Amino acid sequence: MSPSRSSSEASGPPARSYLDTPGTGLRSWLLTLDHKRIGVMFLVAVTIAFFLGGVFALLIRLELLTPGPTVMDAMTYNRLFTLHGVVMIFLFMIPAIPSGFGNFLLPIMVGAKDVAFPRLNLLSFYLYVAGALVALYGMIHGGADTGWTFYTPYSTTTVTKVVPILLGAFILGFSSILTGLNFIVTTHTLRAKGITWGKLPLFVWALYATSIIQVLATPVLGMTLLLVAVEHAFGWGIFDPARGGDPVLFQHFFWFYSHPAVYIMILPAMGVVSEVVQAFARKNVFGYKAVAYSSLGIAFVGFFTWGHHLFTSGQSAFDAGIFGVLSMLVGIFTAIKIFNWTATLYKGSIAFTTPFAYFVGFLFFLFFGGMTGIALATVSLDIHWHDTYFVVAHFHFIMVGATVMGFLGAFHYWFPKITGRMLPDRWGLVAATLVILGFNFTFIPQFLLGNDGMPRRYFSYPERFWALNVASTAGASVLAFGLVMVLVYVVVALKWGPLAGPNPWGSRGYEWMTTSPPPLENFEGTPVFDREPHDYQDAADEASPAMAPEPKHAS
Amino acid sequence: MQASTAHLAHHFESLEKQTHAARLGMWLFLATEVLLFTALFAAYGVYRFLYAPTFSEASRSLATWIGAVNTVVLVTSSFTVAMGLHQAVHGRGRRTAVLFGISVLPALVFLGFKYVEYGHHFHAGDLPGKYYTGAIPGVGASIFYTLYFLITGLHGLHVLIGMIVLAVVGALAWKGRFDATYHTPVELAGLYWHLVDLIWIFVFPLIYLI
Amino acid sequence: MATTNESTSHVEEERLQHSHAGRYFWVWAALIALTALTYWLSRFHFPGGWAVVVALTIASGKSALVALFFMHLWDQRGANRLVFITSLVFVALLIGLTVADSATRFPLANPPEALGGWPRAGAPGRPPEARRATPGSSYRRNAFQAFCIRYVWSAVNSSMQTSST
Repeated sequence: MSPSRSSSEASGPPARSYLDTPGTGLRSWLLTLDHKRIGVMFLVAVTIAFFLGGVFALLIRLELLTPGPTVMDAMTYNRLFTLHGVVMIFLFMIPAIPSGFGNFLLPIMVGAKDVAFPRLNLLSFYLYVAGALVALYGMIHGGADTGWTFYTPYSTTTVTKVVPILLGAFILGFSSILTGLNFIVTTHTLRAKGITWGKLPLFVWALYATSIIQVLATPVLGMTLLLVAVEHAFGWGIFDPARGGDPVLFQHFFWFYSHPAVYIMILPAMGVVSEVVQAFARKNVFGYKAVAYSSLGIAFVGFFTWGHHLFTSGQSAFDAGIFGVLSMLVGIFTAIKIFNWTATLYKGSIAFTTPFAYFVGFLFFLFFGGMTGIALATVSLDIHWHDTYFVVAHFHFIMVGATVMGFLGAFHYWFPKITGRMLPDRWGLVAATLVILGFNFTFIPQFLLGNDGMPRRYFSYPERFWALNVASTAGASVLAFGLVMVLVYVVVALKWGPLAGPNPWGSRGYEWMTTSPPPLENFEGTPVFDREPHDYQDAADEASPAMAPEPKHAS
Repeated sequence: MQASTAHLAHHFESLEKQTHAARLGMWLFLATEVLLFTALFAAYGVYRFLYAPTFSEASRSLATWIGAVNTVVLVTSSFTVAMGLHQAVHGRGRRTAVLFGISVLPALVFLGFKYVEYGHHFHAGDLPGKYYTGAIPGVGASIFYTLYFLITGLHGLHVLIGMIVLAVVGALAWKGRFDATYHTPVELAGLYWHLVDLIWIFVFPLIYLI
Repeated sequence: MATTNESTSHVEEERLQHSHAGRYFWVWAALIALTALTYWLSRFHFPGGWAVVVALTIASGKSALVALFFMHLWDQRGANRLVFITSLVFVALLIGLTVADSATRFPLANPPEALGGWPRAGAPGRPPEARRATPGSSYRRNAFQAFCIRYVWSAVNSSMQTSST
C-alpha cells in the first residue's frame, strides 16, 4: 500500500489557506481576528524575545569567564541578569507555547472555527506588545538591578528604572489573563460534536490547566507589582520595616503568582510532549486519564507550594513545614506523566525525528530537574542550596531543559501544519544534539558550583570556581550555536522548504485532519470526530513517517 | 426578533451557546478581580494581626456612619441593576435604561461620600506611609491608612468603571439594542456591578467596624 | 453553516425568564437588615478575634445572597459556580497562609512594634501592647505558637554553635 502522501504532495499546497484569506497585506494581519494569525504573530514575537534574552544570557556567561571583572562592571551585570530573567520569563516562557501554539491549535483540536472571544485574543496580543514596549523602554534607560524577583526593600529604594519594568510586567500579565480566559471558555463551549471531555487531545488538557493558573494567579502578581511601584514612587511603605511593613510579605505575594507561573511555563510543554510522543511512537498514550488529570493536579497543587521560595527568608517553621511537604506532593503528578510517557514508548513504533529528539531531551531534563526540585523542597537541604547556583541549575533544567525542548519540539512538529512546509530533519537532529549537549555542559557544572557554595547573582567569585564557570560558558556557546542553527534553517525553510502535504508525520492527532496550512475556518466543511485522538491501533491507511518518500522541493 | 441573528458570531452554533460562553467568560474575569483584591485583603489580614490594637483605634476614628450609608447605597443600586436586568429579560429596553440610570445615581452618592471622607483624612493628616501625621502613635496607623487608601481607592476606581459601563449599556438599552432573546451586555454589566457591591460588603466591616 | 456543538448535550436551564422581581426585593431587604445587624453588633466590642469572626460571617452571608440571587448563581449551570467557588478557595489560601506565617514566626522576624516584635528605638511613646522579645515569655495564650517559637529558637541556637567552629 503506497503512502497516501504522494498524491497530496503532487497537488501542491492548498488553494486557499489562512495565510492568504482574507488578504495578505499588513493591515489584514495586524487587525486579524483569526486565531491562527494571532498565534503566528505571537510566535514571531516570542522568538524575538527568546533571542534577546539569550543575548543577555551570553553576556552574563561572558562576564563569568573570569573571577573578577571581565567585560563589564557590577551594576551592568546586575541589570543584565535582571533583564535576562524578565525577558525570558515574561516575554518568552509564559506566552510562548500557550499564546503561540495554543492560539493556533486549540480551536482546531476541539473542532471549532475560532476561540470564544476573537477580539479579546487580538487585544491579548497587543497587550503583549504594549507590555514589551514599556519594559523595553525601561531596559533602554538602564533597566532594573533588582533581579527579576524584585525583592523589597531593595526594589523599593533602588535608583534604577524599576517602575517601567514593573509596569511592563503588569501589562503583560493582562495579556496572559485574557489568553487563559479565552482558552477556558473555548474548551467549555466550542467543542465540536464527538469531542467529549474524555476525548480531548492532551495538549488541550494541558492548556486548560495552564489557563486556570493564568486566570487565578496573574492578578495577584499584578497587584504585587503595583504595590512595589507605588511604594517606589510614593513611599507608602507597605513593605518597608521603618514604616511598619514586612518585606517578607512581598515575597509571599510575589511567589503566590510566580510559583504557579513556573507551572504555566511547564504544563504546555508537557502537553506538547504528550502529542509528540503519541505521534512518533505511533501509539495511544498509556493512561490518558492519568495524564489529563495530573495536569489539573499540577495546576491546583502548584498553588499550595509557594513558601518553598521563602525557606530562608524568616518565614515561620510552621509554614515552612506545610510548604515543604506540599512541594514534594506536586512532584507526584509530574512523575505520573513521566511514567506514562515512557510506558507509551513500550511496543510503539518509534520514528526518531527531530521532535522526538527534543522529547528525549525533555524527558531527561524534566527527570533530573524535577528530582533536584524535590531535593530543594527539603527544608534542611535548601538552607545549604538556597541562592546558590544549585537552584539556578535546577530551574534552568526545567525551564530550558524541559520547556524550551517542548517549545522546539512543538516548533518542529507543527511547523508543517502552520506553514505548509517541512523543516530539514537532518539539520534538525544535528541542532537538537548541539542544543542538548550544550545545555548539559552549561548547567551540570552549575549544580556542582552551587553545591560547592557559589552564590547566584554574584558578579565575581573566588578562583576555586573558575574552571567550572569556564565549562559552563563553553557549554552556553554550544547551546547558542545550536539555537542559531535552528533559527537559520527555519528562516530558510519558510521560503524554500519542501511542501508538507496535509499530514507529513502520519499523525492521528485531530489537527492533522485538515490541510497544512489550514483554511480560514480550520476545516473544509464540518469535521466528524468519531474516534479518539492518536488511535493508531485502528489506523491502517496513515503513512508512517519512516515510509516517507524523498521530499520534493517547491519551484 | 432580528436582533438575535445579527448578534450571533460565526463560530458559535447558537445564540444560547454564545450567551453561555459570554457569561462564563465574565465569571472568569470576575474571578480575576476577586484575586486582585485578595492581595490587598491578605496584606490587610497580616497587618491587622500584627498591629491589632492600632488598627482598632484607627478604625474607630473613621466615620462609621458614612461607611454604613455607603453600604446601603451600593446594595440598593445593586437591587436596581438586578431589576434592570429583569426588565431587559422581558424585552423592555427603556425601563432597563431608566433603572440603570437610577443605579448610577447612588454610585455618585457613594463617590461623593468617599470624596468627603478623603478630604477629612487629608486635613487630619491621616495619610499613607511617610505622609502620616495623624494622632495615633505607632507605625500601625500609617500602615492602616496605606491599606485604607489602596483598598478604597481601588474599589472606588471599580465603582467609576462600573458606572461608565452601566451608563453605556443603559444608553444602548434605551436605543432598543436589546430584546428578550439578546441582552447579554445588560447581564454582564450587572454582574460587574454586583461584584463591586460584593467587594464593598467585605470592605465595610473590615475597615470600618472592627 | 454552524458547526454542531458537543456542549449542547447539557441543555441550559434558563430560569432567568421566570419572574424574579419579588425575589430581588426580598434579597435587598435582607441585605439592608444584615447591614443594620452588623453595624449594631460592632458596637459591642467582642473579645479577641471574635469581632472579626462575627463581622466576616455576616459579610459572607450578605455576599452569598448577592452572588446567588442578584448574580443568578442559584439558577445557573455548574461551570459559573465552580469558577466562583474556586476563586474563593484561593482567597482563603493566600490570606490564610500569609497570616499563619506572621502568626507563627520567630517574633523578631516580624516588623518592629508588631505583635511580639522588638520595640522601635526612639518611637514617640510606647504602643500599648509592645512585648518583650524573649521567646516564650508572653505567649501563654497560644501554647502551640510558644512551642514553635521555642523549637525554632533552640534549632537556631544549636546551628549557630555548630557553624561557629
